[in-house]
Amino acid sequence: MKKSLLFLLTPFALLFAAASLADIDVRNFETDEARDTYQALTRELRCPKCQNQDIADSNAPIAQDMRAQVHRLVEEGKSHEQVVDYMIERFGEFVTYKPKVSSETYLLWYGPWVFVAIGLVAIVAIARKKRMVAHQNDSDAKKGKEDGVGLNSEEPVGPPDQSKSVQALLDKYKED
Amino acid sequence: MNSRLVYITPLVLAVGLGLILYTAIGKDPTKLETARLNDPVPEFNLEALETPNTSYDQTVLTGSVMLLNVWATWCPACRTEHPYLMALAEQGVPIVGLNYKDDRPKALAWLSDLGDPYKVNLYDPKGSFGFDLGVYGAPETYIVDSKGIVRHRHVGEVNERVWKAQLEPLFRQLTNRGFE
Repeated sequence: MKKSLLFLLTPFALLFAAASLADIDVRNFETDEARDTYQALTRELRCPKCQNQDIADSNAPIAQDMRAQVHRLVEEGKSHEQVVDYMIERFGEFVTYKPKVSSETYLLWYGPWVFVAIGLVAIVAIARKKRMVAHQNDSDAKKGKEDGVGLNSEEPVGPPDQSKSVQALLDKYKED
Repeated sequence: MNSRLVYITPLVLAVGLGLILYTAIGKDPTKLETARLNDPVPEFNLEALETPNTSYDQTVLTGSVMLLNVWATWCPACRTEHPYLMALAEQGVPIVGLNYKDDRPKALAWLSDLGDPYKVNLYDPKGSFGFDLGVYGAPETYIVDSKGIVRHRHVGEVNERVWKAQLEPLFRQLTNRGFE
């Protein structure tokens, strides 16, 4: 019984063994800094073949080549930016997840801010309008009182009428 | 007046965004820009596929308008497009082959079995020239003008439809310009 279970499970174990071997490049770095740069770059560079995967994540042949190149360049002492430029020169802007700010990418970089700004303007405009309406109602109400037009007139205008409740409170005090 | 603005702004934004998104419909996201477009072919020094002791550099791609076809025996679409490349070669279109990350004996067997449409075949077993050129798979076909400048890249199989619609017009235009 035990033996047959083992027999059944072995293929699964082998399956996972293969998966765990799949994407391990053994790379040596002269400095820890170089290793960090390499790791950051392979997460920021995008695989042209299997799109929407970074090259650290992808096992496409081109991603393997790109990792090897990144390793070589980093070990040569190239900076993060130089490596990104090297890849853009060959594979285009597509290859980086952080596109450069240029006339082609203005919409991408600043578009969201434009929408936020529009939203803010809209909020301010709406708030102002509400305040104006409330103010108007207030002064209407006061005017109505002076004119002797009852607050209980049929016009149901504006927010809950504060002057009315104030009046009620005052009356209550008087009674006391 | 102000309230009209409040109503119109979202409408304008929605229509604008709609137009932007509309232009992207039907676009193939796997078609990437060609970074080397309108730039000279990068420098290289590669052995000829057939003769290991002869080597070529980028000047082999100058002198006339030609196709640079990236191929390999491991690439199924290369096999599909091969007969069409043979037909183009017969029509007199010069094609330079770039045997990409392949094995020399296999590649030679392929050419003797299926025919050889190439004027010259460059052997790039590690894909180093391919990398410099921005190749990310096979097949890819480039149009290189007589000065060795990349004018077009087609990713994927070349067939009659692709040739007639995309490659031939540009190929003819560049060829005629050379004679003026």
